[in-house]
Amino acid sequence: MRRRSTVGKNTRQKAMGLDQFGEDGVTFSDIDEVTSSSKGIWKRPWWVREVDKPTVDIDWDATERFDATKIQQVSWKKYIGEDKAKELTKRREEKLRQWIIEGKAGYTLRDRALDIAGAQAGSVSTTFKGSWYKEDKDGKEREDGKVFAYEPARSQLTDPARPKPMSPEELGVPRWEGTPEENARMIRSALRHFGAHQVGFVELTENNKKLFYETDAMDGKRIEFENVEKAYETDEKRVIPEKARWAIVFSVQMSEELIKRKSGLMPSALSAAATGAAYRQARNVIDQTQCFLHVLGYQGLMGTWYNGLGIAPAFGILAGLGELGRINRMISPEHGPLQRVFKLVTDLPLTPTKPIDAGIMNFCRTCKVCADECPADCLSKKTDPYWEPAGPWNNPGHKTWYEDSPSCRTWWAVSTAGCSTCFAVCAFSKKNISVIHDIVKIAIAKNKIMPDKVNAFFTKMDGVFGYQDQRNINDWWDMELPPRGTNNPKETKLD
Amino acid sequence: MWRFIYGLILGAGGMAFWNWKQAENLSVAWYVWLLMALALALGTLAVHHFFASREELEPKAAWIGLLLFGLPALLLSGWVLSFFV
Repeated sequence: MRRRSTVGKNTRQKAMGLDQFGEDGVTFSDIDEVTSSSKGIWKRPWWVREVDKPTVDIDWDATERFDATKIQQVSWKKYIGEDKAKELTKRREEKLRQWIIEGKAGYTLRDRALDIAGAQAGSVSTTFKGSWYKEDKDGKEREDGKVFAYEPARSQLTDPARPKPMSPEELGVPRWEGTPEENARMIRSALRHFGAHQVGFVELTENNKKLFYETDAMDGKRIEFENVEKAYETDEKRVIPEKARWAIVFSVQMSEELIKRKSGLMPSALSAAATGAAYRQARNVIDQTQCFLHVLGYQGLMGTWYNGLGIAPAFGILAGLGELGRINRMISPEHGPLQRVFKLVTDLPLTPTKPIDAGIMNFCRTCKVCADECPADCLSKKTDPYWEPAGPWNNPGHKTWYEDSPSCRTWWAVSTAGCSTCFAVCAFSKKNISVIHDIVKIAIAKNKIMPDKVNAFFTKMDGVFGYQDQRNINDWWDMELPPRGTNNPKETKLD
Repeated sequence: MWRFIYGLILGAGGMAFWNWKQAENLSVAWYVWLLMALALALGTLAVHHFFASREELEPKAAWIGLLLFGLPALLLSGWVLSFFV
């Protein structure tokens, strides 16, 4: 006997259409009304206020397009000397093998395997236009006109059961058109789906374009803006169209439980795995976002590695994801420094998000826990930020605590693992389940009575409560954690 | 779950106190109500922080919080009690 549906015909019709959304009875008649709803606004906690200028002082006249080959990841050998770098690298390899054989806690084969595989397996390298993007010699997109591929011809990522990443032009349909507000909401939702945690937008100006690298760190190609319709690439340069006037900025949260597993003073391969996993996820988010924009009929442009194209923390701060901290990296009210920041450029019009002031940069003035705990002693202990860079690895033009990057990178070589001690001990590195963290953060953001003394008290109590204590390394392998170890209930929300 | 149990205990305790106060025809001064509210707030914070910190995998923070918020709550409760005995 055929069972009758308990759902009425009208209900089914409504479910198939767009009559009713949500529990509050708000009615939408079409998808445009859905995307233009005010419920798409990013609602921050009430004590985080939007400000016209970031809390870091910027002198745009002193800010220059930065040669990305000067950064320590590329020029470390140059800064410390070729011979020393070669020797450290040789010793690093020897120690790496030796500690695996010895079964040293935090450096065992399984710790290494997690670190290496977490950063590599299943991911793609970022590319200028997207890993799946193909064009012929004349720069024309190459496609056979079929929506479904019967074999994964265009990309290894193409699934024959799914539509290929075709542009609207190839597909023969009009491209997506939305207001900047609608587009911003759409991109936020898409990126959250792809795996981003926080999303913001920056409208590009002649000033903030200086935050794009002058050259690509990986292949030395120049990054230039030209008045052209489509992005293109030659042997010498990658060209971003002037009409691509918006940066999409997003963060990927890192696992607190992993990053707090150092080996005494030294970072372990296990703590480094928190960083690798965030980069792996971001590579996929970037590639998927480029694909998403391409299918909508827009361009999404990135450098040739996950930290490429521009200075990520700077864009994160301009987009209001967080504030600059003593570690000279971004610290957000929700995730602290436990995140990595990424950016793409697009010609899809987007409503920019504003910088924020949650009292974080001011708190860093008196805290100094990261600087005290830094095993390489490369973070500044000066109370107030300053304009003078510590070396050629820093880009001038903003008032901050400039760090000694080559010393930091040298410590990676000494410890054999990527260091993140400053992230691990930061007072903002919390899971935020206890309401006490909210109370403290509200006080940091809003208190005007002897703020330095109150903030110093909070720093002291952070230590008393044991939040700066590091975790037992081997316990991690016996824990049942959420995927990627991130389960911060204080997520940002679309209200 | 702890929230549910805490709510039950609080509800039952509050009801018992109210019934006793009515039966004994007691009048409670405003500052005693204030002290009771303060003790309740601190006690709730202590219990919440304890369980939340254990969820955060921060056992040290859980016990220190219980001590720092719970002890004043107990002392205040004792003071409040002294008004009724």
